[in-house]
This record gives sequence, structure tokens and C-alpha cells, in this order.
Amino acid sequence: MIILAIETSCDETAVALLEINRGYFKVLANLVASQINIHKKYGGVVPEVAARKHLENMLPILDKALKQAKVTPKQIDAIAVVYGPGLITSLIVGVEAAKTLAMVWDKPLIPVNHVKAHILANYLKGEQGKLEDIKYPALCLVVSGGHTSLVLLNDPNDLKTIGSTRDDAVGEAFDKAAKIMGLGYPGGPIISKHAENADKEDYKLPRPMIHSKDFDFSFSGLKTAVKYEWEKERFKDEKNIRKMCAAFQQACIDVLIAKTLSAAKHYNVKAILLGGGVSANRELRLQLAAKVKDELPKVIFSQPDLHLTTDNALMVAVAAFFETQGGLAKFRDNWKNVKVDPNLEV
Amino acid sequence: MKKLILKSEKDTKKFAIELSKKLKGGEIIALEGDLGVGKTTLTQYLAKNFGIKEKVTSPTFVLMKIYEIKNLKFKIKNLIHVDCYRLDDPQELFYLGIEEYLNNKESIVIIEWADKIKKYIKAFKNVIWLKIEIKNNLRYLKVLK
Repeated sequence: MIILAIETSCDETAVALLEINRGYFKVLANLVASQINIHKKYGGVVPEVAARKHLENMLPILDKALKQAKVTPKQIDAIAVVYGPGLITSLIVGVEAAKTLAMVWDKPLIPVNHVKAHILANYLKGEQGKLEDIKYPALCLVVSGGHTSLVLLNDPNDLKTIGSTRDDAVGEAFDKAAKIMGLGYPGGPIISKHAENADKEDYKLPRPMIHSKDFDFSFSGLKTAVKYEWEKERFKDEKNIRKMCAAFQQACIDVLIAKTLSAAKHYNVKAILLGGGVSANRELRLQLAAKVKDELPKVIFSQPDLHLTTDNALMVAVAAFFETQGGLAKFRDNWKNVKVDPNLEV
Repeated sequence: MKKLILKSEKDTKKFAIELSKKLKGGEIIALEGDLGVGKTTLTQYLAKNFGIKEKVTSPTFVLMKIYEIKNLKFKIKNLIHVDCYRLDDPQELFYLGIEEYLNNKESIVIIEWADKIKKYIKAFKNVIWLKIEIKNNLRYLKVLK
């Protein structure tokens, strides 16, 4: 089957076409129009600007994707779209576009949860091939600008959040820490760049909730600790910026890894997955992989391809594919029913 | 104007209980204070006093979060948590639909980083303006009406 997927939950307008037949997939098109340069000057995504940009991008990118995939509307079996969680004004653009196409072309419409899509991105490695063989139960650490959670999966459609942040998402903490040091937006890539080969022991930062018995996180206090340490620092030079970035990044990673491993042990999972924008962080990938190998040698560790860590529509297509395991019938005429849900949970 | 010293989170909790008892609905609680003074913590305690069981997390990313107050003993039905940290233009909040909740007897609107849209908020009547500052590890809270 061929799925056309649309994702506009935040600041990326993304369209993808994915073909899946008998366990094998082929990427026909995967396009993302990023607005990051537009939002940089605001230090974050501005909803109204994002929505207007989505509107401008939507038709050209749809057109381009169909041309690149050499697919006619007739060949498409289903349309998939992210309906939440995300910024309401952004979500609406994608959902309305998808509903219109589904109505005009008379296609089934599959609503997809954005967080679930990030997790199931782990099924796609490379541009074509066999879908990954993920062993269940699996645990996924979802880390991004808006989310930080641990999700337990019994199969691709049976997901349960077992822990999440009580205040800031980890990506948000990176943004705020970068802002405290005057480093710009987005904080994730900037901090990890500065942290490379820098001394991470020089500044002492807390590891919030690392010993709590649950699987929740807290990053608000860590950001505050960075602020106070940084205010005390008399020499705010490049060398110290690098040390602070390294200390902060390591504090985040330590908590993320500790909670992931203790949840993995508690639920006796067979696989640990990573997902979301912050999973592009190289140190997090390396250290988590090493820790899993070390402490849970029988558990398989999987991380999404780098270009599938940030928002994209390919992950939406694969999540939609799993939604249709029970057949397409229940998604017929679904354009009448699908609505955005900005606070959607897993 | 009322001045308070919050020595620990316990004091913040106590203040949140007192404040939530005084709320009748339709108020805007404007919070002013730097990163880390405890704006979200105060909001979390307020939410707890209204029986909200969901996690009240930072709304920085989405700008506005809406929590339903399910306990029928309260006349207030919604707690709206807004964050202006990334905001320069109050117009942004309109696009997210904040109007529906301002001056609404069934809602309490809590606005973090309210000083960023001071002029806009000052135009409303029912504003409780809280300014929190940290000096020597103590939090000084000023209640400005």
C-alpha cells in the first residue's frame, strides 16, 4: 500500500509518501520545509507565524512530493495526518489539508499521534528494505522540545506512558540553558556543539529526581541551577561556556539514562528505543547505547535514523501503516470525523 | 500592597492555599519574576488546590495549557496556564483563544512572565499581580493589585 502522510504539529511542514508491502518498505518521498530560521529571532516557535508558514508551504510541498514519488492520486491507498499533540494553530493546517484531500480523492484518512509516530520511526532504517524487527515489550525514551517521557509498548498499537516530565521538557531545558548563556536558539544542537571535548566535571549541577522511585523527570530545577552557577561565574568566556554546556548536557543525559534503565529493568523489556528531536544528541545516543550494552546485554537498543529524529512525515506514514492492521474500512469517510487535539496523550 | 518572605517550598504551598481560597473566578494571576523563582511551582500548588490531578507542566513550548477543574464544589471550571517567556506580542495569545477565558467567571488565568505583556494585562480589572524576587536565597513575594 502507498500512504501519503502530512505533519504540521509544530514548525516543520512535512509531507511523505511511503510504500509498504509484505513487511518491506520503500521511501517514495520525504520532504520537510523547516521554519527554524524564521523562528530563531524569537527564541522559539511563534504559533501564528508557524501557522501562516504552514499555509504557504503546504501546496508546493505536496505537489513536489507527488512529483518526486511519481505517484498519481489514484495510486494512493490512504492519507495520514498528525492530529496532536502540538500547537493548535499549526495542527489545524495539516489536518484541514489532509481532510480536504481525503474528501476530494475519496481516500481513507488515518489520524496519527505525533509522539507515537516518533517512536515508530524506529521501524524505518535507510531508504528501503525490511521493516525493523522490534521485539516486545519495548520501552521508548521520547525526548523533544515539547515532550520527555518513557513509553512502554506491548505492540506497535499498544502504548502506555509510564513516566514523564513534571515541569519542563528536556529540549526546553536545553533552549533555556542556551538562553541563559546567551547562545541563541535552538539550544540542543548549540549546546552539544559547545560541549564537545569540554570538561564536564568543573561545574557541579544536580541530577533532579535521579533517585526517585517513579519514572518521572524534572528539568526545571536543573535550568535554575545553571542560571545560578552562571551568575556566580566571573569569567563568562568561551572556555567556561563550553564547560557549562558539557556539565549541563551530562546532567540531562545522566537522568535520562538512569530512568530509562531502571524502567527497562522493572518492566523486563526486550528492546529500548529512542525517539524525538533530542535523540539526535550524539552523546545521548552513544552513552545510552553503551549503558544498555553494559547493564542489559540481552536488550536490543534502537535509535531512529538521524533525519527521522526531528519532525517528519515518514514516521507518520509508518505509524499509520500500523493503525491499518485491522483493515482500512474503519477509516473510510473519516475526513468527517478527524479533529485536532493539541493535548493528545499516549 | 502585601509583602511576604517565602523561606521554602512549604511557604509557597501555604501562600497558594490562601490565595486559592480567595479566588472567585474571572481573576488573572500575573506572575513576574526571573527564571527559577518558582512561578511554575506556585501554579502547580494552585492547581492542586483545585483538585487538578494532571501534571501541570511548563507551557513554554505551547504557550497556553488548559486544565479542567472537575470537582463540582468549585464554581471555577478551568485553570488556564499561560507562559509569555517567548512572547513579544499579546496578539499571539488571541490566536490561541485566550479571550474565551479572560473575564470569564468560570476561569482562572495564570500568566507567567506577565511583565512581558504588562500593558495588555493592566487593561483588565481583576488582576492579581505577584512579583517574586530572590535575595540571599530567600524569595520575596509582593502582591500588587
